[in-house]
Amino acid sequence: MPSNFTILGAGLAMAGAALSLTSYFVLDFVPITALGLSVIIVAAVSFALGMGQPRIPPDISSMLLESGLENTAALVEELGLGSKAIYLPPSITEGRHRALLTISPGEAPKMNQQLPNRLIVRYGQLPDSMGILVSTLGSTVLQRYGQDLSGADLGGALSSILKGFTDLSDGVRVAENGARIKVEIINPRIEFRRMQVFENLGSPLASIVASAASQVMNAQVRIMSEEISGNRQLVLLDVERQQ
Amino acid sequence: MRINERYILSLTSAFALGTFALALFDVIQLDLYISVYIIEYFIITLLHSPLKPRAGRILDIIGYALFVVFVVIVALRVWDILFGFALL
Repeated sequence: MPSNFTILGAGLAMAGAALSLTSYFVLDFVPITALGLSVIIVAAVSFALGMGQPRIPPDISSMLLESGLENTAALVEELGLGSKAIYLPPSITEGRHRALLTISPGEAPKMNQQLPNRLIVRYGQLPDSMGILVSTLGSTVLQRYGQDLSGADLGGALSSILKGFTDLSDGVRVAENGARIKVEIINPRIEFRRMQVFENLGSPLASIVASAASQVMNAQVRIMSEEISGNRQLVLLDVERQQ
Repeated sequence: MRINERYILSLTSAFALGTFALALFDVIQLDLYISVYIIEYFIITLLHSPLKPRAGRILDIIGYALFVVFVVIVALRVWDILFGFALL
């Protein structure tokens, strides 16, 4: 099923061609001929935008997201994990974006070794230095669009992802203060809900922000807090850079 | 309003305004209209970048095509000025 933009493009292309040809050969009136040509350019742009539209209907995408979240929530709940997730840079997770939920809550452990691409991982020598590596919405988004962010700073990367690639917000502001980074998401389009699993992993938008920060800064990132303030979602990150 | 919708709306408005303004000054050179559209296209596209990578790649191709058209228009104008007669 072609998207609305593709159908619009087809309609505009026909109308533009008819308008410019009629005006050029019959009416001999330049402004209308030019207007017809401009309509053809808009048609081409509309086709291009149609090609970028998702093939899966948004409702189904939303259901897939919810079912994925419910599975992760059930896993976290069953294992009794109460720690905040640590978003790891791809450099220590075999090139894949992952979040680590440790068994023992408290201070975030410093990762000095590569972690295997498995569900249950050991990250240190102590008996309780274990956790689970999970994939989040942020992991998937970065897996898809991460290669288009090379050389960007955090603000630019988040703006590209949230405003451009995924159209999840109208803009992003980033304020850095040492190891703390405050990210302000303007007009977020994913409804902010309080769920138990979000206490561990962060909301879907915060998860994207944390994943992007971990890749761009090559750092371990934790979501310290998030809140809604008017039409903005504020996310506070704690960043520990890799050596 | 989503970014794609804003982009299409901005482009359409810019083209409509450009056509109206040039028609108001009785401009009858088609190449001038096309040049203005091409410049408007590049400005509006830049202001709405980045778009989804797949759409962005196709918009790049459209941009290359329009740039070639622009270069041809400029080359014809230069020819006209240098040699005193128009090729087309």
